Formats: sequence, structure tokens, C-alpha cells
Amino acid sequence: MTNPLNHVDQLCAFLAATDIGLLELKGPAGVLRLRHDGARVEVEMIEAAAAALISPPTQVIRAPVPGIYLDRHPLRSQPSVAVGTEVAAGTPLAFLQIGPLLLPVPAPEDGLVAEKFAEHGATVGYGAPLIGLQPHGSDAE
Amino acid sequence: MTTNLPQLSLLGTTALLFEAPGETTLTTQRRIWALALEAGRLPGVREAVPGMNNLMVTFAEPPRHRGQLEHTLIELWHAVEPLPAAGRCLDLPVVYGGDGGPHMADVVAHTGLSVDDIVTIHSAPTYTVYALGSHPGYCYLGGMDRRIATPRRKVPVLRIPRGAVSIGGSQTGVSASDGPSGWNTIGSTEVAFFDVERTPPALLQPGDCIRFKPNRVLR
Amino acid sequence: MIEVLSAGALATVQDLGRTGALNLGVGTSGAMDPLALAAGNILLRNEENAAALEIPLFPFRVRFTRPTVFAVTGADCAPQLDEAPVLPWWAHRADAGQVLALAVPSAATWRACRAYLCIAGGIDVPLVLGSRSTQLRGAFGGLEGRPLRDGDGLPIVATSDRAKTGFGITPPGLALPLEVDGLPAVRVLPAAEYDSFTPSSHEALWSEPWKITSQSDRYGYRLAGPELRPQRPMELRSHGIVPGVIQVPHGGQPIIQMRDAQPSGGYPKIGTVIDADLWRLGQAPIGSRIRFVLCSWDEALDALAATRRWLSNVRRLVELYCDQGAVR
Repeated sequence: MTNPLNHVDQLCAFLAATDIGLLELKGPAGVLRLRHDGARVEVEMIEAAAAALISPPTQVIRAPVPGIYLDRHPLRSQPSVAVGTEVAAGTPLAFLQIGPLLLPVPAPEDGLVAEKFAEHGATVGYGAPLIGLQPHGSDAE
Repeated sequence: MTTNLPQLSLLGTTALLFEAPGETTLTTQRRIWALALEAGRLPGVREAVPGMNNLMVTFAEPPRHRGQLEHTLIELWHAVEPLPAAGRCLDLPVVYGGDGGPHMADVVAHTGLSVDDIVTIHSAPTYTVYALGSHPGYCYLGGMDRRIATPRRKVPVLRIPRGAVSIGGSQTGVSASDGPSGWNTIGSTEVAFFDVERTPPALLQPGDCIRFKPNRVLR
Repeated sequence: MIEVLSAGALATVQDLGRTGALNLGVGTSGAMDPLALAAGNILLRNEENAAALEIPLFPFRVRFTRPTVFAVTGADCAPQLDEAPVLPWWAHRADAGQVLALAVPSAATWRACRAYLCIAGGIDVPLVLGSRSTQLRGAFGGLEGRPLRDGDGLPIVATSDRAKTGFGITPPGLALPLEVDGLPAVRVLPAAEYDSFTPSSHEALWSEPWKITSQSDRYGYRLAGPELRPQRPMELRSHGIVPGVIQVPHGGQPIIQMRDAQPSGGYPKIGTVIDADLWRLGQAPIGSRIRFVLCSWDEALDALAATRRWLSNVRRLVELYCDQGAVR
């Protein structure tokens, strides 16, 4: 099997041409992590032993519109999800209330609810961090 | 009624209720019909619905200032001429007593009159339709002889059938559909007072009249 | 088409009511919670008056024979689509063959008792005297003038697929609260015979909780509470009445006339629940207690304006969201 390190330049060029933010390649040597922040691609090599200890990065779900953040549907008394809950892509994790309108804050992919950044009932602005999701299966090959 | 003035009151924000003064009479009712005709044309009024010597005026939109409408109704009341009670007259064949008249015995007991006398007295007058209400097609009738007046039942019957001819207090009427009733049912008729497929759907309207024709008397 | 699998009892097709037929002795009927019906229709981009199913008793199950966009408003009855929970007051798309099940309402944050199944396009039953509401006494309107039965099929008006799914509305039970001493309240305008009742009757009307007894339905709500007494016995002539009228028969226990009440009556009337608050009554469960609040004509009109404003705000935001896919 070819060592992914031999193809880093190619991979960086590929990544820079897309809007993919993160590319992780797992191999016997460890984990090659390429992070694209829009301007440049940062390369990180994590040794095999260390790689085993690092959990996949949390994806921050942000408010697509400003509104009142609700951690549950207003007719329900319990939060929609708890930290540590496994959720499927599309599950409403929380809600944004704009006047009488209720919009969902859906899980963008299957994953684990890792963190809650916003308070139930708080007014949040556009782009405000709401929920941290640890996606399952972030490999791209 | 202890006043000579019409009384206006609210039915929430949905309607005004106009009560005519004095005793309940046909002349007053004919003025109510005239008032209903005029009131029904007023801007802001959805429907003008006669009752027994009264009129319910429903709003298209409840006005912030009602004084204008109330004033107009009083003015109209004083101005209108009674409409003639010149509608059509319907002969209604009735089977008195029997299974269709389960409370005939109660009327006998209360009035002290015989079944035949009750039938004769009930079927003698020409009854004027004062108003429609209660349920689809039901006619409030005026003109019953007080001798056969019988109080409403203490316990209403859950279901009396369409066509039931009944006495409640000093009034009489015919049910236009199955339903509960606190009146005393003395007979039955086959005539359909309401048919939603028909135009107009109600058989009779205020100003029409009814004569009960004893078809059979079952004892 | 919607196939009724389990109708419960007393489920009917309703719209916002049948007006203009009082002169025929035909009352308005229509949804007991007209706000839930109208809002559900707005959510699905229907006209407010599109016909829907009113469901007062549960469980209730239907199957959609074709892909259908729907919303369940009114009481939160834990709706499930093919046994997977779906949100209340939310626009969903059902695939052909999917089954929607509604359970007994829970009262987590809002105590309510009637649910409305609203459908994009609306239920396609004939207009009778200008309305699709069920006239139970006259046995016409809605579906053949009767409650739904297992096995019924309800056609749906064809629609050009404008409705958008995956979003919802905050219920007015939460957005427009009205409570007195922790109990749901409704505002009342005094009626013609109000002054004929004793002062202690007035006190009782405004200060005491009133329980909605089990003898309560679309025709009327029989209340239990202190005895209301007229100063002297009253014999009234038959006169027109409207939903919301609070009658006091002999015995002194009031009855609130509701949507299927007779359009005329002869009992003394102590007051009328205002039009703007009838939806609150429509959602008050049997066994629950309510309070009456005396209000003025102006306050009653203000309340009506507030519910209209709420509905038009819902319409504005729903249309904005559906047209632009975003709300700024």
C-alpha cells in the first residue's frame, strides 16, 4: 500500500479546490489530517499511537438565522436531545423561534451530541454556535 | 316586561339582541319581521334573525362604536309598519296519540281534558310561523289555545323523532329532525320541514302558517 | 385520500363555520378551536377556511393513500407516522401508505383536548350552505352530516404542491396565554339578564373556578360550581343566541353554548364568552376548571384584534419562509 505521505501535495491541491474543511486519512503510520480554512491547507501528521487517543473533531452547528434558541419543542417539557445522545442525520436537535415561526436545528449527519453552547430561551444571532456534534465516519478516501 | 321601551343587549361581540316591549303578540311580531328586513340591509350587519317578539342582529364585523347601530335599530323600530302575515298556509296531516304521541297522557293529566278535546283544541287554530330557530327548519308557532298549555318536562327526552308534534308551556311546534326535547309530544307528521337539497331548504318562513289536520287519533 | 382506520368517537370534518343560515334555524358549527384550524391551514399555505378533521377522542389512526403534506395542530397528541414520532404544529410529508396515529393528549406545557389534522389543499367534501362544517343535528355538511367511522375515505382537494415541510408554528396556547390564579381564563361580556342575578351570583361568576363536567360536548359545556340565582324567577321568550352564551337554567348551574348549540334559546343569560376566547374553551378538557373574567366592549374587540394579528403574523412569516427559504 502506498504511504499517503507520498501524496500530500496532491491531496492539498485537491482539498484547496473544494469547500471540504477537513480530510483525514488513516493508515498504519497514523493519521494524516489536512485542514482547509478557505485560504490555506494545514497538514498535520498524528503518529499511530497518539492518533488512537484523539477523538474526531466536534462539528459546530450554528444558527442559520437569528432567533430565540429552544432546546426542545415548546409543547414538550424535556430537551430534544441530551449530551451523549446518538442522533441520525436530519433529527431536530433544537429549534429556532422567529416570531410565531419554528425552524428546526437538524443534525447535519449521524453523530453524537457532544456539547451544547446555547441556553434554552436565549436570543441568538446569525452564526451563533448552538450544538457540537461529533460526526461518525469522517474518513474520506 | 315592565317597560315600554325596546331593550338592547349584547351577545358577546357576535350579535345584538333587540327585545320588543309588551306582551308577545302577532302585531309585534309583524313589526319584528319589518325590522328584520330593514336591519338586514344595514352596513355592518351580517344577518337579522327574528325570535319570539325579538330580533338578533349578528355583526359582519363588531363595530368599535355601537351607538350608531343601536340608535338606528330603535329609529327603525318606531318607523316600520307591521308586515302582513300573508304567507302560504300549509295543512299538516297529524296522527295524534299512539307511539308517535307518547306524552298525550301527560297533557290529559295536566289539563284534565280528554284526548278528543285536546285534539280538537290543538287542531282548531291557524298557527302563524313567527320565526325559525332551534334546529334547521324548525318553526316557532303562535296561536295555541292556552287551555292545552302543559309545562315542559322535568327530564327532557334524549331523542324525539323528526315530525314530532309537541306542546311546551303555551307553545306548540313540530320537530324538523331527530333530537332532544323537553316538550310533550302528542302526535306525529310526515312532512319534511327541512331539505338541504331543496331551494330554499326550509319549507316555511316567518309569515307562513300551519293548520294541523287530525288524520287519525290513536288511544 | 385519507382512509380512516380508527375513528375514535365524535371526530368530524369542520371548517371555520357556516354563517348566514341562522334564518333557517341552522347554527354555525365549525371548529371548537378555530385558531388551531386556521393556523394549521396557514402553515400548509391553504386558505384559513380549508376543511380539516377535528379529533376530540383518541386514539385516532388514518392512512394516507397518496403522498400528502399535513400538520397536526391543537392538542399535542404525540403524533406518529408509521410509529415514528413526528412533531405537532409542524408541516410533514407522508408517503403513500403511511399511517398517522394520534394518542391521548399530554399536557406537558399546555393543557388541551382537541387535535386538528390539517391537509395541504383541505378535505374535499361538498360545500353545503356555504360551508364544509358538519351540521350534526340537521345531518348534512362535512362527511354526510355525521361523525367519522372506521373505513371512511376522505378525499383531499388537489393542490399545486406549494406547501413546504420541515418547519412549524408555536401554538397560541403558549403565545397568547390567559390565566387567572393558575387556571385558564376566558373573557365575558354581561348579557341581558346579568343584572337580574343576585350580587353573590355575580361574585361567584367572577371569583370562583368553574369545572367542565363530563356532560360537555360540541353542543354545550355544563359547568359545576356555586349556584347562580336570579333575584326572581324569569320566563323568557325564545330568542337568538350564539356560541359563548352562558345560560343559567333552573338549578343554577351554568351551561356555555358551544359550536353546535341551538341558535335560539329561552333560558336566562348571565353573560357571553367573547368570540376571541372561544378557542380557549374549545381546548379546555372535561374535568378541568376555568375562570371567567369580566371585560369591556373595547377589551373584547382588542382581544379579537390580537388573535387576528397573531394569525396574520403567522401567514406573513410562513409565506416569507416558503417563498424565500429563509427569514431575515
